[in-house]
Amino acid sequence: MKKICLLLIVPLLVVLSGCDLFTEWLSFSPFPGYLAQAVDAVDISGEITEFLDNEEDDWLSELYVLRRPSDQKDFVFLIVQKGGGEQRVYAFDESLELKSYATIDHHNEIHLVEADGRFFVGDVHFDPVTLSPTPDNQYLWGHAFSTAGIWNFLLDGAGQQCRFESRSLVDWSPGTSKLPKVEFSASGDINYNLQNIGYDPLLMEVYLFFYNWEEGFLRIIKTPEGDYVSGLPAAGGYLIPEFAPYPYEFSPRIYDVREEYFWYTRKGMVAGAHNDGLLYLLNFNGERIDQLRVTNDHRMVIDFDIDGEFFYYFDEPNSRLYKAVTGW
Amino acid sequence: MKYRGIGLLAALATTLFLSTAVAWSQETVSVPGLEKTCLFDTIDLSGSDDYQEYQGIISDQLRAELKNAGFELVPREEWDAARERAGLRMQELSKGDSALEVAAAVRADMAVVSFFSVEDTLMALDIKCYDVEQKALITGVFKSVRINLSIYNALAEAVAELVPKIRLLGPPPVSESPVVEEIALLSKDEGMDIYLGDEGFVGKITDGKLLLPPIPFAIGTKISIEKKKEGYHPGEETVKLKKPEMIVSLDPLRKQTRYATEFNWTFGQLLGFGIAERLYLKPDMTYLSAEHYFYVQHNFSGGKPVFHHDIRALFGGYLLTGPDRFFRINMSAGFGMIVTYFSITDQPMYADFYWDIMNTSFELNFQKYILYFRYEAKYALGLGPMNLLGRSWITVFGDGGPTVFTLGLARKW
Repeated sequence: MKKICLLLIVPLLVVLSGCDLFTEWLSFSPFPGYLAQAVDAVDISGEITEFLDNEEDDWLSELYVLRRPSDQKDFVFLIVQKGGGEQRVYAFDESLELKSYATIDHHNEIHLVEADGRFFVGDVHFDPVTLSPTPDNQYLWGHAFSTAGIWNFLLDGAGQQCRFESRSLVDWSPGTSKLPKVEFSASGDINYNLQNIGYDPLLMEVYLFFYNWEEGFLRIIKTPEGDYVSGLPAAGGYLIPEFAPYPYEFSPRIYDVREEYFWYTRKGMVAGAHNDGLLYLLNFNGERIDQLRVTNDHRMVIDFDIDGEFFYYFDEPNSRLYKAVTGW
Repeated sequence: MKYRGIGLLAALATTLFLSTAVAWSQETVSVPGLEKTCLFDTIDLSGSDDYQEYQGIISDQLRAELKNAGFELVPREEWDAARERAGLRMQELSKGDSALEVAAAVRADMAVVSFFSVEDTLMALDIKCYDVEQKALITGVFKSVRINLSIYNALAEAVAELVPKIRLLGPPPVSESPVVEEIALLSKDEGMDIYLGDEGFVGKITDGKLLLPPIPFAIGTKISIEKKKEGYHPGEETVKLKKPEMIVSLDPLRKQTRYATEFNWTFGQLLGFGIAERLYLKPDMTYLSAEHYFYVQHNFSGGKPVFHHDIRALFGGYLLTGPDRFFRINMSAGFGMIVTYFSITDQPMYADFYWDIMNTSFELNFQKYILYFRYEAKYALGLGPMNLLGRSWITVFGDGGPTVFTLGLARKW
């Protein structure tokens, strides 16, 4: 009888171990999920304590991952911002070795690889080779991407319209004004915020993440990079595409996502679920491909590499930066 | 002449009516088959001579009522001589089988025993009537009265209450075996003491069996069996006597548990298990326990496992449900610490201290094992410089409430 039980149990376990639901149940933990997915981690509490000095109770952090075009290596930029506005940007390579940092006196959430190849993070330029920082004071807001060697583009929008600007690749001075414009009024959809953008230089596409704060859903718009580069002929210098004939792809409405957390990866779109610490991997149609329980906390300081292979998570209470696999 | 004839007829009718009435009256007074009655002296079980006067009062009342009802009473000298021949003390006549033995010796149809005891100023009076041939209890009266002037009325009422009950009974139903002749108790608890309601201690289980002494229980009655054994929780069973020869398999007693070893499997900690040891302060009721739960956190997607050791101390106890219950509810609370370390290199060790506010277990209580489902409310205290959970509920889903569930099996020692 025991032998029969063993003969049944062993194959059952083998089958179950290949079952996503079974492995998901086994992986549930009261501890943050990123711990078990971490492949590297670094303690930067000393650096942060030194920067914060006596203001340790009132600080925030942001995390950005940018890829160097020349060799496709990722770099991690951690911004620590004091309550008073002063910020320090720490630059790490993908093995989480701290390469440099810069301190500036105000906060700016723009981050991108500039058109000339430099990393621009929170108003600091980092040399793509040496990672030596050069503070800048652009006072820019919104979301940005660049097309290599051509233009930096600044995007922002709220309400019924989303207007984009282009800026010089070097000094961010205004460039062409013939840029796409998204107008929602014709569709009946209003009250949108542009929450994030995703730029894929391989596919040469720009993904715009619009969140409707009135009704609580996400819409993703896929736009070709070429439209930003060439500028489009339109009356008054702007393309004013109405919703119905709009040439770009719109995702359907995607519900059950939080408005703060959206990322583009080549594995799919990542969105924060209402359930704290849970992230969904979505396809463009809003269907869930996979999910990831990062933590049980409401707040996450996290970013993904563009391939969707790794994510980087900053544990604020312990001042530890983790590199972790997504498993997607 | 004419009127003399009418007068004679009237006198005859009157005579006939009266004789019929008397005959009818006689028939309702005595019960066929129970005419000859052995009325024993009232017994004082108080162990004191202070209440002797009541013995006489009760005996006299009973005697008068039974005589008035038409019962023929066996003279005292006759049954007392039979008692002495049987070697029974007067006090022993309060037991049904002794009374029946003496009554049978004097060929009585019915035996009436009465006894009382007094505690403080409260008298408990018990009067029982037995059918001698059937060796069965016919009826009885129990009264609890306070000793003051009203006691005489109360005693008279108790005695007066008995006789109509005998009248209502009529002859006993014809049955070949109306009483239980033999009761054998079977048990695996060797040496267990057996007590039977009013009879008290009746014997020990020897070689797995106890044959009860002959007690004239009527078929259909329920008896309460008390079981006691050193190192075990006492037990009680009620058995309905359905046939003349009863073989009753007694449920085993539950051993008093001093220690128990738990094996725990907790949701959110499934890649591991916990072992805990309970030390009972009061057997099967209150305990202290210490637990170590080791588990691996892994997500099977290329990451490297993290190791957790959850160590805690609890004080627990059972609510509402005694050790003999199959379904029990257990509550416990205490403090613990979860030590965490990584398989990736150069990482520190973390310690999360927590308050185990309340665990509620729903248990199935078997003889040697306890199978339970436990809901655990644990709150991380955020103490110390190196902790991962901060100050929050320890939960699996991150929705704010405690969601830790444990399936466990405990071996009792």
